[in-house]
Amino acid sequence: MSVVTLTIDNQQVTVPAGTTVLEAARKAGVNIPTLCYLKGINEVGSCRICVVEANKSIQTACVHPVSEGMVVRTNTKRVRELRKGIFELIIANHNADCTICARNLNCELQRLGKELGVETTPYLKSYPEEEEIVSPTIVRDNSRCINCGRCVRVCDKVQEAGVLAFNGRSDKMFVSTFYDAPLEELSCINCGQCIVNCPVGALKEKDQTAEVWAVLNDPAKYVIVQTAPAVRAALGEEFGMPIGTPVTGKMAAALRRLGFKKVFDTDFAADVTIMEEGTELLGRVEKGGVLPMITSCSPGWIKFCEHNYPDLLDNLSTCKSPQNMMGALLKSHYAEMAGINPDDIVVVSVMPCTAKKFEVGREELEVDGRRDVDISITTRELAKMIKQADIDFTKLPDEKFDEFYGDSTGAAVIFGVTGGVMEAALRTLADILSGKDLQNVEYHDVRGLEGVREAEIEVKEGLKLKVALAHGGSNIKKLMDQVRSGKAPYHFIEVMACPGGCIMGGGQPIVSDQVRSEIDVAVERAKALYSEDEKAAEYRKSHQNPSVKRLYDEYLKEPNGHLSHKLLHTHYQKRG
Amino acid sequence: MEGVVQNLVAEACAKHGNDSSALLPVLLELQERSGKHYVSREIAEEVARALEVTPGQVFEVVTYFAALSDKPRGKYLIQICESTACSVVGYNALLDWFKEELGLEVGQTDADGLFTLATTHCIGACDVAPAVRINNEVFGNLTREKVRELISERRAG
Ligand code: SF4
Ligand code: SF4
Ligand code: SF4
Ligand code: FES
Repeated sequence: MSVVTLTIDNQQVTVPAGTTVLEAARKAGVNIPTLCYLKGINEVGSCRICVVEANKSIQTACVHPVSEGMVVRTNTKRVRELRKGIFELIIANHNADCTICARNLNCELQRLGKELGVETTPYLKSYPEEEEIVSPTIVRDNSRCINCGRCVRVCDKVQEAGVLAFNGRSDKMFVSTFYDAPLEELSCINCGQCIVNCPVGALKEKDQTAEVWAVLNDPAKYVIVQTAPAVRAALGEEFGMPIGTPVTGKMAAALRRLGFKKVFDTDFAADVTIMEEGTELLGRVEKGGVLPMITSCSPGWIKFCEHNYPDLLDNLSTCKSPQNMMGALLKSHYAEMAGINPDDIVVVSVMPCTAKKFEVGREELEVDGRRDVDISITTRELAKMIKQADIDFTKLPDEKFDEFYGDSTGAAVIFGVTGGVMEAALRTLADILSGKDLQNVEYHDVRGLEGVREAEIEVKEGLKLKVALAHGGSNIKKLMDQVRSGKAPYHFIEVMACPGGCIMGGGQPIVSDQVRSEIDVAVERAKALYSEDEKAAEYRKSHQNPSVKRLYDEYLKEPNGHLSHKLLHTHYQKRG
Repeated sequence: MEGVVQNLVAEACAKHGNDSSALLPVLLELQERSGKHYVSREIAEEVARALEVTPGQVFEVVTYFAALSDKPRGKYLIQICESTACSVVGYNALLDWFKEELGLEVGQTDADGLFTLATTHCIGACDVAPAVRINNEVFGNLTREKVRELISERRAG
């Protein structure tokens, strides 16, 4: 590989030929502001805020390639004045009322204004808000859109849903959807990746915090909360804690202070999922059922499959997602055990995911006319509620989940990262098939962030399970095209709609592109979950969860049994 | 109905090469055959499937080029050239004549679905500026009288 040496602000840097000035500068630790740039996804040079002087001429750093001996200056007077002018032109078309914007204090445009030291501008206008609910999960406000295109390209290239699009050209161009249709009419999978990649407050989730406050204030309601594994790996970021800090104990404490009657853990239902899904897989292998069997925990993936691979619906596990298993159990078994009328129970879920809001509303996900889950909020919405309640999160003590439905294993907590569901299943399957309590519980072959992975795992002598994993729409398509062609040799496939798995879900705290260029967020959040797994020294396998055992002994009787099918399994629909 | 759309798209794709690089000619051809100078949502969905591009990519192309439209247009698509050559020799007047004669603003279609008034980037008729393109025919050296004629001929069918 040929290399190029250049100077950036008087520092010598050597980088591979073809590198952009921006990436070279980042390598040298020189900061250049960006707005439209998203590494590998949106490198179009449209906002021009990244201008620098390269050999004395003005260039956009994010697309301009380096050359031998190039002299780059990133902070001359000319550059600073230009950037200020560009910034002013951007906000001239922007509804910049930061104080009432969802992204206040976590906005790339706002931060830029501060960095550039812009305190007055001749161009600021006031705008009517253009808030539109474009789907059951996503709200758009084009008055705050800066036409950077990040959402469009993420939806197109990373998720391959391709339902967002620019409409028109030049000054008449605006961000829209395919034929300006509501997202719910399209094959949008509600993943929220457009939201977490928007640099400003133009896209956000449908906010349901007011609904949660309302039920918490209703004395007739018995409000139970459940939290998904990935939430604990990221919630702390909203309170200034370093990325990758697990905050399980503080989260439980905060939820109790918000007034939830019971603070339970979706991890419990993740353990139940392993019992159900593992049994289902063994059944399919032994009885010649449809293989490969594909996991069904990710509602983004389910909708992706329904739209793009309706011919593969029989490959999906019939298991509901842990969120919904949990809800169904709380309104049946738990209600009975605690002596509460299930009609008084309200189940709120806190999820790293916007697609969970859609899942909660799916008509088939109810039992005896009762919704499994009533309201689903994102990690960000929970953080908002904690702030609204003026709780000083970082100073909270570490508390525990409430008993029984708060009990879980190390296998459950890793559900939040790509490879985790697979690993949890392998831990249990290997024990069941060998009849032993195997000591080696870590399956490093299925870990990592590679988009499509495969492994062959000997779960008992003579039986090798062939498994594969994919996360993120474009990777999923590669794997599913193989399955469709009949050439996939696998028994079991884990799929998560978001790249990285739930830890990188569309409901998680938003990290700017600049921070992402320094920290691999997925790696750090994954570490938080693996560390929780290691801490759970006593039980790291789902079938060892004592409360799950009791649930089967006293109530469900057996995995995939009659009652399980009523409460914990579901079916899917073909969508065009 | 679905079968009709599928066949139409399959034909156009076969003609121009079953490949994403054929997107533009395929869309132009399908628009031509729509009778209403537009690419419908159903057609666009099918094109995306057939050429293995995302729906969003098709929509961006349809809305980017003035020649294509995502909304139905009149039987006669009147595109007035707004290039430099035309604009210095009477583009404004030409546009006003069409607006007055048709009672339409740019982008509008009349109630009978007969005429749509639009502007376009250069159509390469600078030698006869100011020029207009009606469907696939170009007319130049226009006067108010000629404009009236062009319209009434088409009204008469
Ligand atoms: S998007 Fe950013 S700059 Fe715009 S109003 Fe919101 S916080 Fe302020
Ligand atoms: S939620 Fe996902 S699929 Fe839907 S528009 Fe956003 S990125 Fe695309
Ligand atoms: S909605 Fe956000 S990400 Fe999409 S173009 Fe507008 S500012 Fe960029
Ligand atoms: S043009 Fe470089 S970041 Fe937008």
